[in-house]
Amino acid sequence: MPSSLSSPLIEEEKVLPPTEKQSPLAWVRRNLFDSWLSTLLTLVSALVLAWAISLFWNWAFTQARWEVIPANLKIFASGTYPSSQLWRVWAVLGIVLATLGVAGGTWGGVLLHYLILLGAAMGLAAFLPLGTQSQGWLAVCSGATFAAIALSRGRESWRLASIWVWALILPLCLELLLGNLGPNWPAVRTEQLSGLLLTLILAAAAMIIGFPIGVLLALGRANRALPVIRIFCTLVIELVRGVPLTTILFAAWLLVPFFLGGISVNLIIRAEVAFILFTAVYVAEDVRGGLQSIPLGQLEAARALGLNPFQVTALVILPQALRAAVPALVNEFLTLFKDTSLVFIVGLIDLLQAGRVVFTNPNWLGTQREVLFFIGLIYFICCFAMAYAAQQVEKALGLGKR
Amino acid sequence: MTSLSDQSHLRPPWWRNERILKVLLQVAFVVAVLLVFGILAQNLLASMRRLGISLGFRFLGNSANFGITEGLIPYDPSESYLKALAVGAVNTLWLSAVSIVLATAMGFVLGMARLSSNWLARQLATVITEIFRNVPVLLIVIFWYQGVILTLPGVRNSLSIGGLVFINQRGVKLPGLDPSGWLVPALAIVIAAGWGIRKLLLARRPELGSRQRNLWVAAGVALLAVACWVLFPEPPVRLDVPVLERFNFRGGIQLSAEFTAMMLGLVTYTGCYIAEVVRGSFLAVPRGQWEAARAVGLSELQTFRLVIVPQALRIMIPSLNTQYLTLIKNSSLAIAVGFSDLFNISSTIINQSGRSVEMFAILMATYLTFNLVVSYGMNWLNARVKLVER
Repeated sequence: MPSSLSSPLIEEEKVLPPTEKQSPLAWVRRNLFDSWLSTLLTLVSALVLAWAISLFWNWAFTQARWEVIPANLKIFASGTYPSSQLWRVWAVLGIVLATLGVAGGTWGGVLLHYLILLGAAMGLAAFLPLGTQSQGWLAVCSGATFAAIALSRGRESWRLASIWVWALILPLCLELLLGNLGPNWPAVRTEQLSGLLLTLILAAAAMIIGFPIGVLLALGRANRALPVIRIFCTLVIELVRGVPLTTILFAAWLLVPFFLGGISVNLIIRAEVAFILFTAVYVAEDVRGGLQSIPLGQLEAARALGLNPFQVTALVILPQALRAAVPALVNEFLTLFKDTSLVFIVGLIDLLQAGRVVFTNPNWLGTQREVLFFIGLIYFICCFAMAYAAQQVEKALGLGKR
Repeated sequence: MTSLSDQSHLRPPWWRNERILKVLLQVAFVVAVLLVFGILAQNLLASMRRLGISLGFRFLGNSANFGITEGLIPYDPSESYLKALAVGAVNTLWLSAVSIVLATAMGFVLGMARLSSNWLARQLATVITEIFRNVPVLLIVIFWYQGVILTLPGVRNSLSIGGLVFINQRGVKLPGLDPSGWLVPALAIVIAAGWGIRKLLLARRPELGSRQRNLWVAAGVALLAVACWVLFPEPPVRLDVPVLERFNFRGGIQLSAEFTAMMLGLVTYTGCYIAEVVRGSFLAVPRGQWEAARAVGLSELQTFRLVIVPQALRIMIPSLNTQYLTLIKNSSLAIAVGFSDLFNISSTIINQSGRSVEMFAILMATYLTFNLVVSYGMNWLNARVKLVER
């Protein structure tokens, strides 16, 4: 035995303490009725649980008017977007899913799993009685997802292309959503972008544009060599972080027109700029935390190798800082996704506002619980999925392991 | 001398000298920033001239002419904008303070439940935190307001808890404390007695432990307090229980529906975030500390109270600070349910007077001040509990 213990090739099972097998009764005693305090906790929790479940059950199956949800699906999804132009939204969804499918196919991982789930869910939804047009488009979107995955599966050479192609896809999608596509398909006013569609656009754009700005702000704040830039960045970060998002949106709405000297800028863009600014400063603080976690030796070593300041930052410092900041950044993006619901301040109609529109409709009075429950569920699924994906990415990066 | 001129050959030309480049870069940056701000300021002044208004805070003295549904300080629509703003600021502070206290309590309970060895409590707490953390705070507030409070029974059929607390569509009625003129003398007597007993014990019975001494003091104070209650012609404090009259309750403390909804929303949302902070902080205390404390012979409760909690608190405070600041900022969502907080009243003033630039400056300054005060308080606390190093 001693010789086998000193061997470096001990199997892990031999080192771990033995796991005891326990009967269900022993498990219950150990986990629920360990001491008088534990017993009390069990009883209180069980009471709370029973009360909540019975309350919910009673409401959901006897009082709730769930028909409000299918009847207003269009309003939740795309709000006041003109019904005759809805095919554009579907087409954009198809294009985005196909592009994502290519990325999922070549990169694999959690993105691929999500896309397969989403594609399968859409495929199944195509059989629900939602009207022939929606069903057809659902089938198309599902098919596009799976076709893209199948096409790109295992092609590692497509990896970089699957990222750069977004630079082409995003303007195309915007043009498709809003642009003037001919006499039968007139331009859509941006105010008509609403519902879940608006929520997703606001959040995605703020993340994509706010992130690099935030990184720049963080680098500016951490820069010791350029005090003027450091002070400027610090000031911007602290001022914006100290003020509620509601106030910033309010400023974007009422104040910005004063400063533009007669140029009128679309309200959605002004709100979006507010979100970008807000995201950027919070991202900046998270990245700053990441920057601080990097030992000075890394910087010195990089300088000693003869890299110039730009190379040191881009090749040595930032990759490590961003990696360390991943958990905080995900939290920021989750918060941002939820905070897009504050656009009600400037009068835009996002998913949550669309819900309020539905339950203040005289036909659907008294359905606020059903509607809010449904909307909450959508937010919950999106946020939970993002958090789960982030966990997987953290694992893949080996965060917290070293 | 030749060596010097040699060196000047070695030195890079000025356009590649890092020191000069840095200065040039910063000068260019300052010029660019000034230019942008100059253009913006010019635009602002031009627009103001076009609209025929000038910047200035004189308008704050004008009469507000709008009503405020609730406030801790008395207010009349004929009073100035400044007074209306003060009412809003006090409402914001009151809402934030109550929510912070309750959210902290909820966070500790939930966070501890998630660490408990009890399986059911742990799972229940996990589900609750995950639900509230993954949903917008605005949705939670609206749900409490329109989904719960507004669907409660009316005033006449209020839900009652033990005949003391009444809950209905208009909010919550709590029993209040009604002090009489005898409160001050009673307090003076009790405090003096407590101080006296302690002094006496310290002098006569120095062998007593601090716990026993405190017990004696507490007993003496309690006895005197009861004596004051019985002997004074009027009790120093009377419980003011709300009573249902023809149209509404009289007496007690009224928490309006809007206030209650905001408070519940902020507490449930922030409470779940605080629960995560609490959980993380306790997990961050090294396991060796538990083991060491047990090895020294401390009981489970002593270990927790004397070894784990002080260290966890130390880790917790910066994150708690962030949560409190977020809560204060989220309180501006009150505009969604119509509670008269600072932001809501400011937006009314902007609508009425059109003074958006000045009001924005005031709003920013006020929220920044609130943030600074809370941060200062938390930093003071942090300095008190943090590890003293060399």
